[in-house]
Amino acid sequence: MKGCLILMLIIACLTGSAWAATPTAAITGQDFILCYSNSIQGETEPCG
Amino acid sequence: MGGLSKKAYSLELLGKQSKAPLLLLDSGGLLFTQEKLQSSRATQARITAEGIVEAYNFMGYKAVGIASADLTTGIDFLKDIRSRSKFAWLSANLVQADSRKPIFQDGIQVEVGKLKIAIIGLTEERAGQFLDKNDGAMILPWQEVLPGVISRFARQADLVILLSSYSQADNKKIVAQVPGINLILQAGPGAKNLMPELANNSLLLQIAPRGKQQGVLDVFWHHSKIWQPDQNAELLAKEGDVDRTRQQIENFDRQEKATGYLGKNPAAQKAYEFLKEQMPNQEKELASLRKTVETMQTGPREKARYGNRFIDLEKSLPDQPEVLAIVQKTKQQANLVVSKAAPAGTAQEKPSYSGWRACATCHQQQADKWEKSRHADALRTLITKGQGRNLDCLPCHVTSLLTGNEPNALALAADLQQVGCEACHGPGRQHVSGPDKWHLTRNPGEEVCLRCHQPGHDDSFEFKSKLEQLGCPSGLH
Repeated sequence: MKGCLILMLIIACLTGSAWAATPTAAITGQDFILCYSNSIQGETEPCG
Repeated sequence: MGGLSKKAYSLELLGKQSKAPLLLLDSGGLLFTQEKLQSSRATQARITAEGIVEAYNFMGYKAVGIASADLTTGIDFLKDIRSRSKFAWLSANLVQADSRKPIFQDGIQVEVGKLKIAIIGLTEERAGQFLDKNDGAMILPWQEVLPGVISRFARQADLVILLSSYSQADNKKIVAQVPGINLILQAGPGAKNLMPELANNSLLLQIAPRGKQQGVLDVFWHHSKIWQPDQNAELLAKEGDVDRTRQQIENFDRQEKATGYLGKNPAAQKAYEFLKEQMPNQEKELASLRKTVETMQTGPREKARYGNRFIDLEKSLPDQPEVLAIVQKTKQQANLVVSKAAPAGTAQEKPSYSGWRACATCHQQQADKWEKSRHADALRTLITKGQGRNLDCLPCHVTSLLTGNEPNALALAADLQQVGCEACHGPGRQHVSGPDKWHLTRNPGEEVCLRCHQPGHDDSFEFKSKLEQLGCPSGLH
């Protein structure tokens, strides 16, 4: 159990940036949420 | 950063976390990297464009504006793309030259939650120069079409959104002359993230290109159709002011305690007194603004409100599995078509290059350092990402002239399948044949790096530090 907790903490530290980058649901009461993007320019993903 | 599978993951998560419905829109420039494309590259670019549309179908996009980079391979291909799209392609001013009727839909109305939202597309006039004469199409100035279209949609809708590939300056002229547009999403490959700007009661939104971030606007609509300026942004600025003043006072206090600084410096003493005098006023203003924002959020809504966020689509974000599968399938198909077009070993390499091993004969010390750099692995990096035959990516991952004749890059000699010495110092075949007679650029400047390390591909590029890291050691051997 203790090992699991330590492992979870390590994972949390390693993936901290991903968690911080994910959207949060702190805001409530919107009529809608507009998600917008611009000029994807034929890129399915970055070159490398 | 970026990528459709990260974007899809982020949107899926947002949908799960929020009770409010999502409306997914793209302001345009979705399909192609360039507005003009060599015919040898068109097939691969079209396959990629089809893959992007499949991913957008999956994500649940409602509409995309038509911008110049969607017209690259002609109107007929865009019509074909439309037939594959579960979302609308919109332009009110891309019309048939003879009848002047829109070739695609000018706008649509969708129901989002309790609201009827009209979405209208507008293509910048500059896109007209990329239209094929045989297409019989033209772009009309916005003045000719927009007032009528907006008026028609605004009668039925609670809210009107314009997807515009005109510049911000033009969009401001539009909202000054055409009433009824509540929100404009601006398109453009050179656009940057901008905080929403209110102009004539229209909210102008803009996000940087290439999908590195996702723009998110929380909309709290009001039947008055009048936007309340974003006081959260004002609050943040005021908090910053108060923090700065407090910090300056603390610095003066610390210096005074340590060295008696203020007693010896009358000017500093004066500044210190001024700050102390300002502080209570600033704190009072901050408290009042906090109360206003709190009342706005909890009290009855008198105007429409909004909150804007840019979500980073970090590399470390998980991939949405279905969209990842679409991306991988698309890349495989795109690679295959190029493999057939230019099998390895058949293309002529540029005669002016020698390859890095020829350089190493005399410049071993420099070559040793280069071999440890990421430049030496540049093509391998692409191949690992499944992009080894992506003609948009290749020119910056091999040693070749960046002329757009990229299929040649697939069949370059082994010593050119990296970003080698000659990528920076220039073609070296003559130098190899007569080093005393022919000289290469000894110290390539920043402009050489910027051919590839452009914002958008490498946002954190900084010439001086990279030169220290990668620059060749001086001396011959």
